[in-house]
Amino acid sequence: MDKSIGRRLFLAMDYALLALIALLCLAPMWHTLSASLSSPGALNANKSLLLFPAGEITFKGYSIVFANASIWKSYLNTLLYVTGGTLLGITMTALGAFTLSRSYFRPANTLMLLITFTMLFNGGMIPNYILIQKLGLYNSAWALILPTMVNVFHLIILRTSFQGVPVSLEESAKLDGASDLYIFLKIILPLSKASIAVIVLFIAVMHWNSWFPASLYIADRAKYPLQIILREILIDGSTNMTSGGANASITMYKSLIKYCTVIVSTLPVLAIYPFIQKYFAKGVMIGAIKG
Amino acid sequence: MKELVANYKRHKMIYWLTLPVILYFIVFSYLPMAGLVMAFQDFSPRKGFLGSEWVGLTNFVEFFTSSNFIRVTKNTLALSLLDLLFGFPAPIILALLLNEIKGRLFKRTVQTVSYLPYFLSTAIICGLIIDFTGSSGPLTTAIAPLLGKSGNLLGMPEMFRPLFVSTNIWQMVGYNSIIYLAALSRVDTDQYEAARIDGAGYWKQCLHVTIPGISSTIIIMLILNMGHLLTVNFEKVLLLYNSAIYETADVISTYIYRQGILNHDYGYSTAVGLFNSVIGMLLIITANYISRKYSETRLF
Amino acid sequence: MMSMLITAVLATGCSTGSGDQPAPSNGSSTTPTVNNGDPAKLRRLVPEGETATLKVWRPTHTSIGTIIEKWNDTLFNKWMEEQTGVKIEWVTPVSGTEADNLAMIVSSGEYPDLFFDAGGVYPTGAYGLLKDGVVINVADYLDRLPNFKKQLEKSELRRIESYSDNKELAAFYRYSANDELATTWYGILMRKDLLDKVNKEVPQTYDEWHDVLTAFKNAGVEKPFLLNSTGFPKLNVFTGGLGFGYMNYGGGTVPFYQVDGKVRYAPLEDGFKSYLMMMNKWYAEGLIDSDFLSLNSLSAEFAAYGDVQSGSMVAPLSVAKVVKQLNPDAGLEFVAVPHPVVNKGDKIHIGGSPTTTVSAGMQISAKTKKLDLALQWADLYYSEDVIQAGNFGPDPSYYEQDAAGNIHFNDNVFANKDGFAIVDMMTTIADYPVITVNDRDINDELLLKQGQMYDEQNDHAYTISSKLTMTDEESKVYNSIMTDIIDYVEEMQVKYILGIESFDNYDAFVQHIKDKRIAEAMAVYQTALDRYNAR
Repeated sequence: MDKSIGRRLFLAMDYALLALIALLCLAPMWHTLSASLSSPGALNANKSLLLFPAGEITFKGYSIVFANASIWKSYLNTLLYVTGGTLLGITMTALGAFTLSRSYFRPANTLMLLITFTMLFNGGMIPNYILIQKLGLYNSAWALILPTMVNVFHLIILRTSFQGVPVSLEESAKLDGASDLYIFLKIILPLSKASIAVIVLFIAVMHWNSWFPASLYIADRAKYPLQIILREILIDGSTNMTSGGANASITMYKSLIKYCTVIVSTLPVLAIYPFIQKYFAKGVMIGAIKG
Repeated sequence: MKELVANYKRHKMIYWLTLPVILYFIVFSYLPMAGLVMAFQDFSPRKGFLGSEWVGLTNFVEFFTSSNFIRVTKNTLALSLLDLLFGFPAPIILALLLNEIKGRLFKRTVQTVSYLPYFLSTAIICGLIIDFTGSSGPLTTAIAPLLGKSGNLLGMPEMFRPLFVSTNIWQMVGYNSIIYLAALSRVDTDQYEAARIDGAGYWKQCLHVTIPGISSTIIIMLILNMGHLLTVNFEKVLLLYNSAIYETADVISTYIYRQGILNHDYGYSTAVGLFNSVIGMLLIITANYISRKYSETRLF
Repeated sequence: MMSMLITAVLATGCSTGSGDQPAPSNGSSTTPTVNNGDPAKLRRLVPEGETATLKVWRPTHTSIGTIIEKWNDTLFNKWMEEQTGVKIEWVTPVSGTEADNLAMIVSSGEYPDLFFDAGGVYPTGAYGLLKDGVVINVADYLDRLPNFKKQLEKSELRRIESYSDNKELAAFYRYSANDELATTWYGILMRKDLLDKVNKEVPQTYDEWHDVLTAFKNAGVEKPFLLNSTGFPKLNVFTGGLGFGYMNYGGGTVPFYQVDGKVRYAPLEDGFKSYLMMMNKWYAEGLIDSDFLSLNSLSAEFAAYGDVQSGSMVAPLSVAKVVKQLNPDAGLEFVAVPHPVVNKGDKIHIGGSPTTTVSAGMQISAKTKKLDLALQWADLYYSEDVIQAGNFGPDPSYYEQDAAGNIHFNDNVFANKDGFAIVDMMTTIADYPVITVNDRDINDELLLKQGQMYDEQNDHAYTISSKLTMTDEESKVYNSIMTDIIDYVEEMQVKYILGIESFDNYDAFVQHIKDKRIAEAMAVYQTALDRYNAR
């Protein structure tokens, strides 16, 4: 294809700008990785961006993290919560987004208003705790999966996406006698793969990073998710002066451990993203279904 | 009401398919909302909702008349608006820039790398910021000639907002662009064809096909952002601020936090939260109304 | 959602004094039973073949997750379960969420049978839990608690600190053996190598400090003195010599001190102004770390301790050893420096106090259905050999007894082969002494000597006991006024040090505090103090 000078110049600047952005975004993660392998003394003294680990390369930070008896169990727990939470979440969110996106569904707008309302108004910790108690969900995985099943923001994104599917497709299917469920499963979903992929990612990440609900609703250590254990490793010995002072040796390691916990917690998630990316290829399905 | 029944009769399945979601919101969102009554009570955990004394608007008045109310509200709004002004377009622009690239590998790499900072904990990002803005930090040294002075940047009130907002963008732009990337992939390729046939160059295509193509996503995101105008990342402010820069850095949530050191007053903090929510909801409704009038997109 | 509230300092129950517990019979078998074995029978609270369970709320500890899985695993708790036949179900909130967790439990109405150390976490303290009807008034059952009663009545200090103004007992209090204060573990460290470099002696007065710091500065040290983001060193260390007590940063929020029974507020006193002026001068001369504003967290402070550019710091005394371990090649040597004073020989009056040897420990829930069992179980903690087991654990392989009858942990603890922190080891062996033998966790002579240096300087005359209580009306007035004043002063104090605010307006600053009704708050506090002194 012929490209004008202007276009070539633009593309060159585009590439350069994107490369710069990529570098700026990579820098802190690279720094974190280097820091996690540094020796604590050198790390504490360091004040700049680390290209390489400060001092000698040490795995001491990681050994402290993995010395925690609960860490592997908590990884498993988190996998369970993420899988369950994501499956349930995407199913219900997509279902809700579908019905609320149908123009012939009269209550849709009112329901959207009421639902958006819940995004902003929240009773707070105490009523939620009491609810979970009364429902008998306390200390169970359901307490982590059910309350967050449908996130309003995700619902809205999916709904917007579903609304974007050409009505003509739906109408021609209806002429052929298709039910709403059929339209949902055979037309809307396949054409919204990108958005579904995005929301799956968002839900999975949300569950992966989640620790606050677990701190409220889970009593058994054996059921703790990863983030709670990591926070425990990070916070222990340094929230208050008395134990922080008594455990001075551990508090000195706090910086190092901070970096290690981020790497431990993030690496698995980063591995998923490339799989999601393939759904972002442009306009794949629409042309295929048409006609 | 009659129309509703008729609508139901014609589209039974849709109603039944919606039911689980409605139930979910009733049980897990609306039921606990009863707890908002705390805002109007002198709440004591011991007495609970039923037993705590009703004080009407006292908590709200207490907040509005607190000595720093104006300052913290102003600061919260300033940070949010700056974030909106610079932080809202940034992911869109990133998505558009990526959209123009043909090189698959480069595109994917940049995409993946750009969303890495999102996964870094606030503590780490703030640790980096503090190191960089220290008296002898790299950033401080670099911009000293521009500023005309040097010294701990986080000790200068005028530096807080630029630092806060720019690092927000740095951390969030990649992750926030994902939604727009997904929206871009949905734009009908046929429309690009049609535009090209009409003789439109790359720039015109972007203006007349791409942006309109994702406009509904942009508008919806903008409306939703309105709801959070009085919310600022509490943890980040807490880690970065200090008493020397309260005049620009102290926000509603950090102020409440400090007030809570003696009190642990759940009623008070609920009242402030409720106030935030009400303002946010009003803004969303307003934004939605404007959007309904001037575009085809509406949230409700 | 307002999620994170502050983590208050947990009542640690660390106390001092030399151990004077009667020794178990020498050469006894594995489980330390006392001579004739009867107490062992008394310890059996549940008939053979039966079990009972008690549910206990208790904050977590660093040793959980590192050495043990749960509270049940400590040697002491295992022994207690074995001996009493009572199984314990521990409710342990996630570290950092204790305050919220307690609030939720209280509001849900589903209480455990006992609470351990809830006072440090509940907004109105242990007494607040009693006032709110969450826990029982132990005084009502004192005649059923022979062991506890005996310990309670051993001294006047214990009586004053345990009973409320209304002669109630909110908890089973924890005391220190002989009511002695634990040796100070927090002090001022100065770089010995730098002192040698500039040929100076350890400073004793504030003027000498200025000379030493200036010498450091001239020798190229970037941060001669470390301050933290509030502008005040923690735990009133360093400022004591100026004659005021203030905020006790790091140890709890007590803005007042007292002189001869009269409440004082430091910002209204001259000492406060002289401190700010001194710090202002030092800051302007570059003697204070120019980045001190960023030292707003423990990890930041600890990182700064090991910085080769840090000349002196207010820090735990054990930091010296740790820094050397982490930076073996940097040649950093530390020496503990006494509290600076205005004139040589002056005493310090603030910081620590014998009243801190009494802290609220176990509390029995007002809703428990197992009151009798709970009372017996709690009282058991105060019997002779349970006290010892609580201090040193039931397993003799971890401790030794010397000729004078004193018991100390041995190297299985101090030099344990797994490299665990001493405090953690100690807790996994003996986690809940109600009468604490002081300094169990220290075998480092140097640390003890250094700590004693601070203790000798201090007569604790200005400290106000944390057991002082206010009525609901008093609290309302106090909270509504002081929240604002504390916030205002904290903002101003930093500005004065930095020089942003000029001392020309200092009188206006003081007047502003008065306009915010400090007098009312102090009056209310004075009433509470008078009541306390009348106990």
